[in-house]
Amino acid sequence: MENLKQKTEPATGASVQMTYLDALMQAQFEEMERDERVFLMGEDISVYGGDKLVERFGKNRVWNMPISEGSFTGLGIGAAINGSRPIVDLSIASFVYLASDQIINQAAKLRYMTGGQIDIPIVFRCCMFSVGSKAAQHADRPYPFFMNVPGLKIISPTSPADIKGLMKSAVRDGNPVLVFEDTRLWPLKGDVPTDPDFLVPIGKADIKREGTDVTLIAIAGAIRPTMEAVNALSAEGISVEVIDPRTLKPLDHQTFKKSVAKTGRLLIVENAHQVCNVGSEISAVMAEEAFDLLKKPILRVCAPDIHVPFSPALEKDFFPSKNDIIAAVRRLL
Amino acid sequence: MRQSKAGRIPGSFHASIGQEAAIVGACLALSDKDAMTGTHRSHGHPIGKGAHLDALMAELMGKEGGICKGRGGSMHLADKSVGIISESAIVGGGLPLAIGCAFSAKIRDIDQVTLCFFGDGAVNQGTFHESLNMASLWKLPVIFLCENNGYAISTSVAQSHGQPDIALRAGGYGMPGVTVDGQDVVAVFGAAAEAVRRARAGEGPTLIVANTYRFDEHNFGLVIPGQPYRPVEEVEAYKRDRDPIKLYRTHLLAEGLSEQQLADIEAEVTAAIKQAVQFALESPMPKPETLSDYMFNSPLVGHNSFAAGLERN
Amino acid sequence: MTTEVIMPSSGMGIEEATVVKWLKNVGDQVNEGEVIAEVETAKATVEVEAPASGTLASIVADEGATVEVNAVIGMIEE
Repeated sequence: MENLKQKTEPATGASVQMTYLDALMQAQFEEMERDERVFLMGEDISVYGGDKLVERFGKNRVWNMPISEGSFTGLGIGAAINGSRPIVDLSIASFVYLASDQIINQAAKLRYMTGGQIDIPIVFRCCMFSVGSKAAQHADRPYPFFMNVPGLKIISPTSPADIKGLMKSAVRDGNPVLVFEDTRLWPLKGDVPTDPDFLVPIGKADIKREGTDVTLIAIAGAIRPTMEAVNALSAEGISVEVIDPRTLKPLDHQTFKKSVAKTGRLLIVENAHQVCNVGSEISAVMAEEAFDLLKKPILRVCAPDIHVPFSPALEKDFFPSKNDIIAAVRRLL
Repeated sequence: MRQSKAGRIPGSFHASIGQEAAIVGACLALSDKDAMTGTHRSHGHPIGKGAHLDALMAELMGKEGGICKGRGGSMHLADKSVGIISESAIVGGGLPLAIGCAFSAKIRDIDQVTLCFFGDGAVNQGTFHESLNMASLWKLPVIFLCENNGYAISTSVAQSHGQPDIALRAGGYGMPGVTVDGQDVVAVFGAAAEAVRRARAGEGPTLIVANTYRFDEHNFGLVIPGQPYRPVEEVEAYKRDRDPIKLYRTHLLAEGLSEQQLADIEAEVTAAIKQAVQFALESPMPKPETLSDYMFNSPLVGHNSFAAGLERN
Repeated sequence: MTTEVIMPSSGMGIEEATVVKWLKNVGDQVNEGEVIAEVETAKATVEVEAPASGTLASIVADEGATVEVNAVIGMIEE
């Protein structure tokens, strides 16, 4: 887990250790402090840590919503059109399907369809509760669906510093931004800059570890087994370059290409199902633009095209594990 | 319609002819700073809210001079400068946006009412129920104006509504529901003005059902084969006896306006429309290299830049 | 008879927790329902109660250890 704490951004100024979830809450707190137009909305949002926000900002900035995901998402979009800057917490990423009509048909399209008259500065938080026997209706990783929608930005930070810096960038962006956070990352601790203007730019990948033999792009929660696998391989002298895209749309293909030019081998690890996922898109672009740099076919390790099972016995090996990743790296060598 | 027949209006064109009183009566109750959302049939609505005819007509023709730069078209006539925040062609899609607009005004303590137009078809969408609930719960300054023209394309209210008296549904959400003669502009204005008063006073939303009639097909030129879904006599009777413009004309004459005064107004309107058509015809088409304009509030860089996309395609 | 002390599940999204403090030492008497350890999740500090009365026979997850929810963190000998 040590490697997750590495940052490519030069550390300027003070930082403190905190968990991913605390860093996320701090980002929201600071942005609400900075801009009074920012407000939070979601189901049961005034509890689970939201109580601190209510205490500081009052109930007019933290709104509990009825169980109407589709329409309260639209409410957020309407409020954004009218000058507010909402953060819509959709609780569990599987619920984003209920909200998808409003996100896709309204939030993503209205700026374009009105010839730029309307800005929609809004952030949608989608927490991915993939493991722990949640069963298939609470365990989705739906980001690939939204990658196919023009007009949306999508981030998937994996370190405490990145969630803080990217969440703050999302709030300030001025366009609809979806945030996919893997709950497996919530307890991770890391150094987080205290500067209230610390931002991580949307669209920039982070090289988590430099290497020379294989390029490994790890998406969202897949970073955890990836780092375990890479640490084990490193003990054998196998040098893997690990890239965390941090932003899924727009993807930072330049950084991927530069790494592939060095290693000639590419592995993509992610927890989404294998058909039309992030790895599919990266593979396509690398095949189009970096084919001559590749020494071996691109490999993907991801969840199978099967629903997330309930039983721990079935769920245990469902998502890419340390051993799956080690085996895939070996295949590329 | 003449322009549509001449092939100058691309796509589907959903005329609101026959529904003018419901539209104008409601819009007149608002002030300039108030907001409005519309539907795929909201052609007259932006006019009622004060958008400029020239830019609206140019938008219908997909021109660069269109109100949405030719990116929206006839079903999406937004004009932020006069508070028209959007028109949704997803039936029922505008209701959440309208309550959100009103929500934002409320939490920022701004005196602004949002008028939300939708049709009888949208009443059967989940967004109608969810939005009415939230508007009532938080007493949002919003007016739900249902233009009940009796038919969702070919499906009548009787065929699709368990409770065909749409205004009764308001009771389920703790707000007043009123039904008005949607062909009577004075009646619609009266109901809307009371709803605006309530909204400004912090008393919350109102559902107004304006019973009206669509004189033309669902969209211009549409031919639905087989048995007609509405009797020809019904359509003829509405056009003959219930045309809101004719009715109001009669009303104004009775009020003491002269034929000459009305003729002058009509000539003025005709001239404005001619001018708008002329403007639209002369406005250039958007240039192909502007395809990606207006996607985001600032250009993206790198592989996902618009330029990269254009090159690849 | 031996009873396992399990890392408690404390909510959606909490798949693991860290032992902050053992309030009992190995060999101490414990009563069913008595708080014997404190663990920390991403969201809250949670108390672990003894699932049975007896002697704390062993500590499997030491202070500072992070383990999955439902994993064994100690043993009680009745």
